[in-house]
Amino acid sequence: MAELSHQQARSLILSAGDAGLLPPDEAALAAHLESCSECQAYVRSLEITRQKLRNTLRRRWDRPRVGISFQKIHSGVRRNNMSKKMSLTAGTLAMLAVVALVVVGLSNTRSPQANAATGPATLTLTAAPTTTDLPTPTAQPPLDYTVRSGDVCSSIALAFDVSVQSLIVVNNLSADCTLSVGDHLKIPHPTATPARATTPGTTRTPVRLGKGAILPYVRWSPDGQRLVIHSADDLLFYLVDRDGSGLSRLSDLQAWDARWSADGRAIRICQEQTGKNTFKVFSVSPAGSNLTELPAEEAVAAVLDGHCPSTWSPDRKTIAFVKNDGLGLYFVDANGQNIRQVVAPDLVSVNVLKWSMDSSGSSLIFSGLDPVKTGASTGIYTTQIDNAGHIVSRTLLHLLTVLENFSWMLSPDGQKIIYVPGEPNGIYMANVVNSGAWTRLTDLYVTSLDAENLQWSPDGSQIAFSSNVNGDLDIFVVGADGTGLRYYPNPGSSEQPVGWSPDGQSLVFSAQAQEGQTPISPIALYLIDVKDLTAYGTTPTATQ
Amino acid sequence: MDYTDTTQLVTCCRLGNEIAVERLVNYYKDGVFRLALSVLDDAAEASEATQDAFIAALGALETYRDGSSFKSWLYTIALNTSRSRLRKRKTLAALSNTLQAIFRVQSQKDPSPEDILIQNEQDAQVWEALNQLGEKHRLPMILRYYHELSMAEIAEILRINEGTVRSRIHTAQEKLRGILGNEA
Repeated sequence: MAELSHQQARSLILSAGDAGLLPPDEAALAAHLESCSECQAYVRSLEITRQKLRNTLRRRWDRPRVGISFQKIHSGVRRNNMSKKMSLTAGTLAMLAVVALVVVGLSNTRSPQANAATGPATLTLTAAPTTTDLPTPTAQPPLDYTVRSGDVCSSIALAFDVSVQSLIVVNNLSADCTLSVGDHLKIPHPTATPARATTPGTTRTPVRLGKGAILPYVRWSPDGQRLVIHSADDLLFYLVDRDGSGLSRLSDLQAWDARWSADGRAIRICQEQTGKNTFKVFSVSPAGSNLTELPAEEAVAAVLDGHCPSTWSPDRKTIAFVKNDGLGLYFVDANGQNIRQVVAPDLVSVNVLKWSMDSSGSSLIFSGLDPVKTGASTGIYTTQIDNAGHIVSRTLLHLLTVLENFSWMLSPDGQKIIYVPGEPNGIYMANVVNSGAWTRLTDLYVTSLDAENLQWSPDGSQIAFSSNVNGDLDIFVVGADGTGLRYYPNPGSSEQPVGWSPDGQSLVFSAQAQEGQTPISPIALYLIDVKDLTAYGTTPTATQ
Repeated sequence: MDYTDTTQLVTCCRLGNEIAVERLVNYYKDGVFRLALSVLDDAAEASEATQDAFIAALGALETYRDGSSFKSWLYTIALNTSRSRLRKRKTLAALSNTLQAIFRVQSQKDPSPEDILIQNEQDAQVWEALNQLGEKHRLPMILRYYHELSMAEIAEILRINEGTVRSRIHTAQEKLRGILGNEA
């Protein structure tokens, strides 16, 4: 059995607490721990932390007992079922009313204006039934809604895709939106959150992509005309045109990731087998036809190229990736064969990496946790690595705190880093090679958590980010030279950048209405042309 | 309750069998209540949220896919009903509630007053540290170390990637360890 390095041991210790280890790893770790007092101390302190957490939470939450009434549950369920039946099938009593409605409906078809008045409410409902929202919208949602047991404002707002604020205003409710069973509510016309913002100079409102709740995630087709979006309601992938039209379901596969092939003729859907740490990869045409499962080797390559944080070597022969648990750096040949761990993995919790070419050959850049320094030192490193996986040299570019581990991004050409420190505020940029001096791109308040959403434009000339400088998060775009700061003001909702179009002309962002700090609507996706953004304040001077 | 049991119960619940409904509720109510409690930190409200969650789930049974994890499906719904209650709460009310709760923590075994003091201090410190993490990191930690759910289950409930769950838990653990110190 090979002896473990100190660092390998730390990496195993972190995994062991979460998922258990393979028998050979367990034996190797046991052998290492026997002789290493430092690692023993690390194990102890991790275990103490977990135990303290468990104890505190148990003392806090184990004691109270649940008080529920079956009666209330039964009657709640009955009422739900009743209202569903009422709206779907016509009982004898309801028959007359239904006939009357049909007559009204027929006469309405001759009047386009009357139709327009009732149309929008049905248009914005989720195509697939949502599994989690109360109340369940029926086929023909009424514009008047009667409050049922268990309803709260936010659940009604979610189900009808409107904001709580608009419910309060339209129905003249108290500020905390108190409801009683049997109240009649008017459902306001659904407001697409960003459309509310009409600022001088903004000529066009953003295009909404998809319906219902959408995950903040897009995959552009190589030609930049269509996007794959991911529904949060049913976890299925949908295709939508750049102008928001042509929404169609890609397949019935629930999965975590979907990627376009380079020629745009197929989309690969990566499905994680729950609990097994394995993947299946399917290929499907953009029209949703020809669904096939890929053979294992192709699947590995497809997964490594998309699912895990991974990157191709400049010669396209090797892929470097981080294992799904975020621990350890691995190489695999492009055909999916010959998986090997990079020799001397100095760091655990490796997060992002980029393989770039410079004058001295190939180098990898990543941030990771250095376990030798009491587990608290994280850094951005550049590392010269040969193809066999030997680290030739390693340079620490910048020391980070643990929480900042995710808060940096490389430019598309791998030459520049942008970075959001915990303190002070702002976004900083440095050259990868000969770095040291960080230039401040903007002094707007950006937290290191929001920094996960930093987005370089494809040509590296602009950076999209979000800042809550105006109360809630708004989208900002700044030039890579620190000039030309623009934004999309939209009070009452939080926006975060999701991805640039391949041509760099448009930006996709997520929007979620919020009340104070808490979100009150499902996440929606929008697309805006960068030229339609509004100039923000005065251009900040690029300073040290 | 094994896999076929749950499937049968769910089928019976779909058909409106109220005895099956009560069996299903009885089996899952404690877990759902603890989940609601860990979001709301208030027993009365958590009970109501538990009730909401069951009514919602039983009303939406047709959307549950046989063969997928019922527990994860139910927990996702419970998390949503709890969070919508949380949203309703005013920020100030929540703050005073939390502060009061910290000083109201009671031990189960009636230890000496000194022990209580030390324990309360420690609990307050851990609770404070946990709150510093923010919901994004706090929820995975609670689901992992209080509810003892697997990484895959947490990923399913929170609808995020399993790798993301792992990295959030690792980050949160390191942060907690940093705040709480290493001493035994």
